[in-house]
Amino acid sequence: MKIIAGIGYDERHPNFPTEQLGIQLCGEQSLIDEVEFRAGIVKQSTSKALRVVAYLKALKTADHGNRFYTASLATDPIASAETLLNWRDWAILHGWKYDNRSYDSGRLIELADVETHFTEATPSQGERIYRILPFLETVSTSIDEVILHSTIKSWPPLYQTLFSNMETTGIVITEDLNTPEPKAKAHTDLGKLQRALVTGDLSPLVLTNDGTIQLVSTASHQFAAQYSVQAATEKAIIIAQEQQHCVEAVINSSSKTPSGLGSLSSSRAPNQLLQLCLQCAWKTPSPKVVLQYLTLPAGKFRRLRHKLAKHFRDLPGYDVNAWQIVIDNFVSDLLSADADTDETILRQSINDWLPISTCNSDENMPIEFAVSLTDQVSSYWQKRSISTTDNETQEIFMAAFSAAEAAANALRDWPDANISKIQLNRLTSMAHDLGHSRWHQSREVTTFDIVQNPEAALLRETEIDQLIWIDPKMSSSHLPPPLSNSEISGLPLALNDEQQAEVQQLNLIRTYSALLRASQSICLISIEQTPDLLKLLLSELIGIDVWPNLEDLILQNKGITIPLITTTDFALPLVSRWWNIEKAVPAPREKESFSSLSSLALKPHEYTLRYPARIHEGSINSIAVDARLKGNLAHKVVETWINEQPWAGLNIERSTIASWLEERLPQLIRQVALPLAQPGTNVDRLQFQQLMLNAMDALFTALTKAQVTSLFPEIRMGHSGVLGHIEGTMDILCEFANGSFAVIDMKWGGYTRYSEELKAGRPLQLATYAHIAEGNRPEKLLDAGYYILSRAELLCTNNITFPTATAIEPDSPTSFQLTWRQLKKTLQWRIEQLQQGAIELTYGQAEPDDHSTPPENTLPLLEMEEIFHRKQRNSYLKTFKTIDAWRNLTGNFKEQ
Amino acid sequence: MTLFYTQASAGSGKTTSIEKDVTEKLGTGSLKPDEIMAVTFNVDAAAELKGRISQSLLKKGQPLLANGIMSARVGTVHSVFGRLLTDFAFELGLSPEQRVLDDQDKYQVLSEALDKSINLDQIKQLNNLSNRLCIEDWQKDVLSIIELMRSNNLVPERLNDFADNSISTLIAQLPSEDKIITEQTFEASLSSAITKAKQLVKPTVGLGKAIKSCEAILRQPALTWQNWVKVSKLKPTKMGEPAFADAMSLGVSIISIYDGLRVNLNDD
Repeated sequence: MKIIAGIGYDERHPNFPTEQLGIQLCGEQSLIDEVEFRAGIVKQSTSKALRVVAYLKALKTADHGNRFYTASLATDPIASAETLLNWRDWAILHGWKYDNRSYDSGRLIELADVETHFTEATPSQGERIYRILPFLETVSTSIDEVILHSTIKSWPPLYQTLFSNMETTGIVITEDLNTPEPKAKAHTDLGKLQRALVTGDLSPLVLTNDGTIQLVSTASHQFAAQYSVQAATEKAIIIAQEQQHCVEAVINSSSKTPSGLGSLSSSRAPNQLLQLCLQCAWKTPSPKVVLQYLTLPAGKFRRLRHKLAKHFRDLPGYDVNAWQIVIDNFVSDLLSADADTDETILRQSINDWLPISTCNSDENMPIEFAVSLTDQVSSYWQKRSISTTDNETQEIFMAAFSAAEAAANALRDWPDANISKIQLNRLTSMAHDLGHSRWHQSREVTTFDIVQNPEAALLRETEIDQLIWIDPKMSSSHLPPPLSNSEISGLPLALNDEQQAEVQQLNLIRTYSALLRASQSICLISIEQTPDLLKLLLSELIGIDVWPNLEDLILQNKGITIPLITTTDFALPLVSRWWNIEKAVPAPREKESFSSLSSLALKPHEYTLRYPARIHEGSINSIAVDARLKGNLAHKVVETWINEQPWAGLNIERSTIASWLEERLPQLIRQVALPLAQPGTNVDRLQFQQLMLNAMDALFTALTKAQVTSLFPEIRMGHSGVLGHIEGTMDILCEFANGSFAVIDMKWGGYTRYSEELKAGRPLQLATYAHIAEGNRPEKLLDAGYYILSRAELLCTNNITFPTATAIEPDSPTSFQLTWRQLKKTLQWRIEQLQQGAIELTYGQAEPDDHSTPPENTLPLLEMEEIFHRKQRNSYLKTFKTIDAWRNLTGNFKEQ
Repeated sequence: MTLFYTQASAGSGKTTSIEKDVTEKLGTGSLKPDEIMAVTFNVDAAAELKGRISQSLLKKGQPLLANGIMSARVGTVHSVFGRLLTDFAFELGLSPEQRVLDDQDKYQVLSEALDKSINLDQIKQLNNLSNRLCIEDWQKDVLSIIELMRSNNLVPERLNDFADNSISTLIAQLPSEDKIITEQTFEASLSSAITKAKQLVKPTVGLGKAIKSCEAILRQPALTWQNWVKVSKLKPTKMGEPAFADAMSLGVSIISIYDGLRVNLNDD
């Protein structure tokens, strides 16, 4: 048989490559595979992760504390081992250890000591070649000829030795450079360029800009992919060296034909499962990671995880009791659907697949634990890949299985009993790096070809009309590691400067040869701005310094055209104040809350979209240390205190609260505010603790002075009336000796807003809660107020009930009952509008009209909207709030 | 080694001069690509320099040398020195995988370092001080001090000298300490001023505002520097001036003599 070997042939091939009976097409890796097979040598296959860990063990064993790598190895074991393993493999490929002319010098002396301990791992590329050499006689019985499509000098030196040894055994080695003749007509710009490249004449060309050459640039891989796929003709070939999943995404969205280009991307959900599972297991996992895991569309119990994710978005923490309720409901649903399900096994499995905070440390994870989690993921993907019949899915699952298996094996071989977070992340990332052509499979994607390397483009038998190259650059070669000249001098096959430059030159020729195959046009889309010789060469020949921007060319219709869908011109709809639909909008719903009623009264369009239409903003929330998180945590803290320390109406020492916070706050943070437990949040956490100490101290003082006898946190109440059933959760319900009561609603911030509400006589939330509470209790409601936690200040309309409260007297006499009546009448007016299909768009750009004015004895809606717009216009305070405090301070000093 | 120093205004041809010089030396063989190190301020300038040298060599028909320039140490400060750090990571005892931190990462790394290097009591003390001085995020100030020290090549050992110097300069600006004036006396004075002012018949608008401002200050859990200044600059109108006179005068004094501030400064 014959072998055709070419550099760059290991990766994806065109749809119909050279096909000749008895000819094998090989790249650098697959050539060794083939010759090994012919020599009867069993191929040893190990993951990169396992090799690196084996080398790490060897480095550690050889480390007597004074090696050149000692400190780096202690700092970052995997990165150091990976780097040094690359050095070693490169050195072997250049004759180190195996060539009797080689000698150890400098750091290679120490690496030679490591070799004695590095015995179990699979051989490197160079070692495999050395292992083949004695068996070439056997190989020559089945291989007659090796045809080299890349000049022999461009192959790594050890390959050159292999070819020379093959020749001595009778195998014919032929150089057939597969360099095409220029295909474009000589008078075209492309024809001129192709001929200049062939002759090597680098003088600037005289071109006519006939559109056969397009050199453009863009910053976006996605856009480049989109343009390439749209612009490709039936006889086109696309070269995409990196970010192939972008091309796949475009192809999938247009033709729905799976291309397999992004099948092995580590961004795919199945490949994320292992890493997320392990990262969730740390004692204090990152909230972002937990949310990613809970919403990952891969792995077991997806429905349950999505339910937990909903809870997690509101209270980002691991509250075992709260989660257990969700799990119990899920189990009960499953059991009622299938009575044969074994509940114990089901619960155990759920437990296994929710490994949140199961490791007792944030620094080190026991290896056994990491292995068991990794095995669980590996076994899951193995079973899924066996049970899947679809080829594409199977390939994706197999890749996930292979990565998890590689990680598990590497972890089993880990030299220590524990592994740190960084090292574990490095190891799992490395396991997903599947390496050369392990899963190579050429699939027909569409009428045009997509290849990864420019060399592979030359393999297409049929004519190439159009060549589109995304981010063109020179093919990479085996660049030397940063070894010193004396160290390299001991490597007999290492190239000197001139030889290296010559290899680079050959790479350049090999790279631009693809351009010669295009008969009609080429389009090169530059993405990276780093200088590259290929791009410089083309710029020099064509005479342009900067490649024009692709987006601009398309928009300005300058030479670049893409298929466009013509749309009829239409004007944007005029800003309107009302939506009039022919159907009645159902309102109120069976159950309403304060927030929904407030929305109905003030912003009926939002109410309509959110509730009857069920259109939500989306669930992509940021999980950060913000006011929302602090507010939720503060509620939890106060609630827990009241539940744990039954109210006795006595003074509570500040120091008692301080010690309680010291002990309980970290636990509560883990349950509902994980972002505050992350590394580097001590300052924020202690600031929060201080604010809570002030808030709780002042709150309990206020309650004591008011002679509150009982306290009830988070009381949920409901009341039915003309507006249906209204429900609300009172943050704190205070009871007095005579049975009368008061309601306190806690807010983290918003001091100005709530003060203004009280002053204007429109505390809508308090009025609603007062209405609900009065409907539930026969006793009298004495007062209701907002407690601003961050300022430790209770805001009421007077300080009769709560003597320490800040009394904000309303501008005109009012009461909660009056405010509720106004709100109720406003709501009834809105409900009537909705029943007629009239939905008002308030707080927008359209001015109110005659229909916007509510009837008498309702809320002054127009005035409220006007105040809002006025504040929006005067954004000075909003923008310069922080600076303003300083302006006051520094201004005063200047005047002195 | 001979050093050549070129200073010239923008657009006068410094890059062209370097380009010509390097191209010529590479051409004659007196310089090799791996012997060059060129540092520019930004990525575009680095790309331009590299591109211009390579193109000059291409024009002269020396593609091999043009190739060599591609791997030469020409780039921004970050890229060139980043590469040196990677190349010599083992000699420096560093991880061979180095990356440049962006601003957000930098802040996170500093926060984590602070968590490890100062205890919770110290953090509480710094939080307390920054609240009093109305500093929103003292970690950012620490970061900018570190960055200034690094860019001025100052060693950490000198930081204590700077801190001492800074504290003593600030304290020297303050009037002498008066043990009688404390935060409690200031608060008592404010309360008294409010009581007196509230007894005045038909208070002016300005007086009403002054009363409200002082009440708001007293409601706060801790007084800030800004509060003291605010009191010193109250405008209670002529009617309220007698009532607020003592509090206003203390407002200025208390900044400088407040013992808590001195304790904080001296402790750090």
